[in-house]
Amino acid sequence: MVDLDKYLPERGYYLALGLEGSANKLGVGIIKHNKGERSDENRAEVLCNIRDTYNAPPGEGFLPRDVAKHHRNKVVRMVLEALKIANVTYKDLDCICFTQGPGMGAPLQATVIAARMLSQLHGIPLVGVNHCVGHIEMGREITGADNPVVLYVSGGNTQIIAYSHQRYRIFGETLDIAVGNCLDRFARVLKISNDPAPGYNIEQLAKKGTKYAPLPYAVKGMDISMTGILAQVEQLAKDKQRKTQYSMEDLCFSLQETLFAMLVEITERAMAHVQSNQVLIVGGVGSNLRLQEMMSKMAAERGGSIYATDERFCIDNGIMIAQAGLLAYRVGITTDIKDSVCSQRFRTDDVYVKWRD
Amino acid sequence: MQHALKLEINCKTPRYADAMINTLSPDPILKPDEASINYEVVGETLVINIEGQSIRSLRVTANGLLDTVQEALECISSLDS
Repeated sequence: MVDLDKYLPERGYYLALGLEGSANKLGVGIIKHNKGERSDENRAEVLCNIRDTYNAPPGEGFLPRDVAKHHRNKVVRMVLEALKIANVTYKDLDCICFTQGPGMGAPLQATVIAARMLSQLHGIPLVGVNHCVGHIEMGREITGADNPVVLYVSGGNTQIIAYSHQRYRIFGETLDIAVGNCLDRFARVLKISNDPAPGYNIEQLAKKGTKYAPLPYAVKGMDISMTGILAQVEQLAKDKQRKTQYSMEDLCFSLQETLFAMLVEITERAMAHVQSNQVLIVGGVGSNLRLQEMMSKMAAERGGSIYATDERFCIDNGIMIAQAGLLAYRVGITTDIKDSVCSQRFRTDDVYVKWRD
Repeated sequence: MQHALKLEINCKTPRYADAMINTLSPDPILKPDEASINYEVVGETLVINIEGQSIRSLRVTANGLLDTVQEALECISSLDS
């Protein structure tokens, strides 16, 4: 059993502030852990979880420099607001957690500047957090899933993950673009609004779709590929003759059905491999109800169940960084300021998960 | 390098100047063969020497750095109370 209270403060509980800024959301969260092992009676307490999203105009994607500017403009105000909401002061915080990667370089750097400054101004240790591990740990905490197969689906990542020997190991992943990126790029073709999220707006249109347009199905072993599917559906959307055959709603429906069927297939294979009947869906696309429904049917047929969170925790947020960072802090992991450089490429399986057996 | 720019930023106290250099210096420059940045603290002043192979690389490097400096200074003025 891992000792999570070796560095317990005198007051008998822990508080961490988390800063997330790896993409177009800036999130600040403050979390409280009581001493002792996590259990149904001893859950983390979310004291604050605020987020501000940079949205590009319809038909456009967000550019790193614009997102970084957004984060720089907002971060100080959001930290102050978070402390106020949580009713805590700097001296109450045990650590400042920040996303160290993966993600977009400029937004990551804009966020870590604030983390480094906070750490130095108030003498609080820094903890660098892998963004994907943040999603997994928050998903485990919120749902209570103990040792699930994790489907991590977002705008920047698509991975099937299972825990083994203190690593979150990647069983399968995208060979090209992430599923959220595929949906976002199709939204740009259709010039759908980016508010609140292009994927959400595709989901709403897909609900009205009735006719399935055949699209390529690209599962390659445990991996998937999505660029060919995107090219095909874009072609259908642009093809004036076929426009009459498939409506915008039909194409959104067809794209979702194809992509999600592929995800279900590789998730099922991973479950069989690790003999698990739990699936935890994390990442922004994880809030898609159709994906949850399809995954749920598969899991039920295997006598299992799925665990998913709502948009507060699925979509990028600061509290998941605080959660994963605080778990690391509780086993003595901190990040020296000179080692706090962010990386756009930071693999989920690079992290040594010292806080689990 | 052919072009150089020297910035002197008064941080009000040596402690703030140290915090600035520790915050700014870990991040590597994107194109080290085209530009370089050197930091130094003199009392309460942060001295930044930027060098570039061309005026363009000097300007681009300085622009990016000044955005970061502005954010760090805002953190000092708003988050240290």
